[in-house]
Amino acid sequence: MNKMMKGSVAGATGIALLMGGFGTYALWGDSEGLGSGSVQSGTLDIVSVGNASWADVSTTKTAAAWQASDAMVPGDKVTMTRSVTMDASGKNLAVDFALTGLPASPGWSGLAVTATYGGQALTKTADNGGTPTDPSDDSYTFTHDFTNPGAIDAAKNLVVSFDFDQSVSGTAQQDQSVSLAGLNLSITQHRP
Amino acid sequence: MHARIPAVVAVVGALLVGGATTGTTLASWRDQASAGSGPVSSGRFLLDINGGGTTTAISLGTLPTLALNSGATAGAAQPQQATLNYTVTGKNNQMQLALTGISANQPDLVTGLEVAASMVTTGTTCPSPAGTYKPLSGYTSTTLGTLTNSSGSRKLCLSTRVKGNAPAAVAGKSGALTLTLTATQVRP
Repeated sequence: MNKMMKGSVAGATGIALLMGGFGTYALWGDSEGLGSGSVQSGTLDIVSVGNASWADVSTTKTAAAWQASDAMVPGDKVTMTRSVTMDASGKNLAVDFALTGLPASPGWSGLAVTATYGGQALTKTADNGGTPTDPSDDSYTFTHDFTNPGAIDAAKNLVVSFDFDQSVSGTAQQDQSVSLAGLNLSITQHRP
Repeated sequence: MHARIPAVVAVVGALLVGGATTGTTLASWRDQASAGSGPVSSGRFLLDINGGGTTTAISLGTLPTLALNSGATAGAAQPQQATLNYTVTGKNNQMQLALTGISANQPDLVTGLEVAASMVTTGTTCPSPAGTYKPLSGYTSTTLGTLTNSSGSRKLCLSTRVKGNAPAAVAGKSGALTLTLTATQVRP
């Protein structure tokens, strides 16, 4: 390395050292924690469905036990009750409640069916099923829009009532049957 | 160059449509559970006489000639029987049986005859007379009994005779008696 090269390297090193020295300057600074409560999602869950319990609530007698295998006669009113436990929470949680799968059973014209959930009457609508001209696939759907999750949170009773019209006469409506095997409960979130 | 313009417009349009479609596929929480149970059924309430089927008229056969009354004393009674087959199912179901009407197609028989009726269990001998006599004219219903939730048979007992105060016109008359047996559902 000649003298000129050595001089250039030494000069560059000196400049670099000087520049490094310039970068270590101090400025005012401050900071504050912005921590707050957590962000969390709500819940919507059918936790459990209790066993069905039946009762004879006919108006002509005091309430008494009823077995699912017991047969109804005109004037009977019986209820099926199932305790349903739900977990529902959320600021903007509204819930469409639907009970589906109850056959309309057109052959049993004297039977009226109603339903409540947590004491709230459910709206019954008829569904023509897959074939509108075939009454055997007709069914009922019971619905309600619960705009407050508190109305369905925790354990509530689902009560389905069957009322066999007292005015049925002659030998009509004997040996009828409505299957409850397909009853299905669903809850769907929507915004209020 | 001009030929490319329609193609560009078409692509933009497709993207807009695709975007709109994607925007409607909103998701929501949903849960479901079975709420099924056993079926709901109605019971049975059936009655037939002598196996003749339900709600049909049957004949009990020819009644032997009735003895006429004598000296204001009623004639001798002629008994008849029939078998009642019943089916009563249902939690709150009972069958109340009654002989609710008797008529005759011969007016003199209506004024001249009286009938007694009762019901006994199968295998039991009918009483004689079958019960309290009631005239055909203005016949009032006779309760036969109440059958509870089961199925089986009962014997219907009848006694028919000429009334003690029957008019002479009843002599030599013949005709058909029609009995109406009514089964009514009653709640226990």
